[in-house]
Amino acid sequence: MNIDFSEVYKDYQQKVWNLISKYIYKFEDRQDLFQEIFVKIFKNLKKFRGESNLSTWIFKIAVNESINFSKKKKRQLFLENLLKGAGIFRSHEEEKHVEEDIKLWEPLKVLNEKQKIILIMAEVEEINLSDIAKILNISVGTVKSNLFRAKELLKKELGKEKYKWMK
Amino acid sequence: MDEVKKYLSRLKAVSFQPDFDAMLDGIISKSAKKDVLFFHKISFAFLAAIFFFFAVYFYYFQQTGFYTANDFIFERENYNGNKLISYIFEE
Repeated sequence: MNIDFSEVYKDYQQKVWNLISKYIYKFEDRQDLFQEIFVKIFKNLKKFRGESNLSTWIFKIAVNESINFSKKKKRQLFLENLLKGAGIFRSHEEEKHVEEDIKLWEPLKVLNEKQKIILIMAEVEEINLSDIAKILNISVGTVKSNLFRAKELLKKELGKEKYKWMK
Repeated sequence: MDEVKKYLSRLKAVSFQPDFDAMLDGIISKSAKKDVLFFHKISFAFLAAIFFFFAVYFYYFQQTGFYTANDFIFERENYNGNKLISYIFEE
């Protein structure tokens, strides 16, 4: 299958950006992740045989990369905090100007990676549940149960005193 | 669930657009760079395999067929006319 990368980029840049901008809160991280996703798409586009929908294939890459990126960032943060605690390392992140309200992403921390990405895809990006199931290689039932659990956890979290400012 | 809905609509409203064209340049240059790195990884693995092969060869096969440290000592002692040392080594 001969697909032009620039066409793919043009068609999917906004969709992929929308997805990751709800998943990752830091603008610089989003840009890094966005580039990593499209580098992977660029390299693997020749291997795409058309067995699945192109958009499913692209979102599959985007979701896998996002989850890996998020895990990598968590490990990095853990290590940074550990080193900061020991007085070895001082992060410059605190000094940087933050474009968006980080607090907005705070409640999502109660969810695991799968619940978080399912919630964002289903409720924010409005991707239908059967497509999400295909992207994540799981059944629609699993998507539904994860979505339900995610909403429950989020509701409980948002009920806390510290999120009063959101109301 | 109202709180959840309200929260999700706030999340939906997040829209900071990047410069997609500039990022495309980054993607293309990163793709090319990573290919070069991949090639380097292969060559490094290949060189490491050769090194490992020779290391095992020298260790287990006692340097036969090559000019060894003992050969050098024999040659030097012979040159100095000291046959006895060569004899001890050969024994």
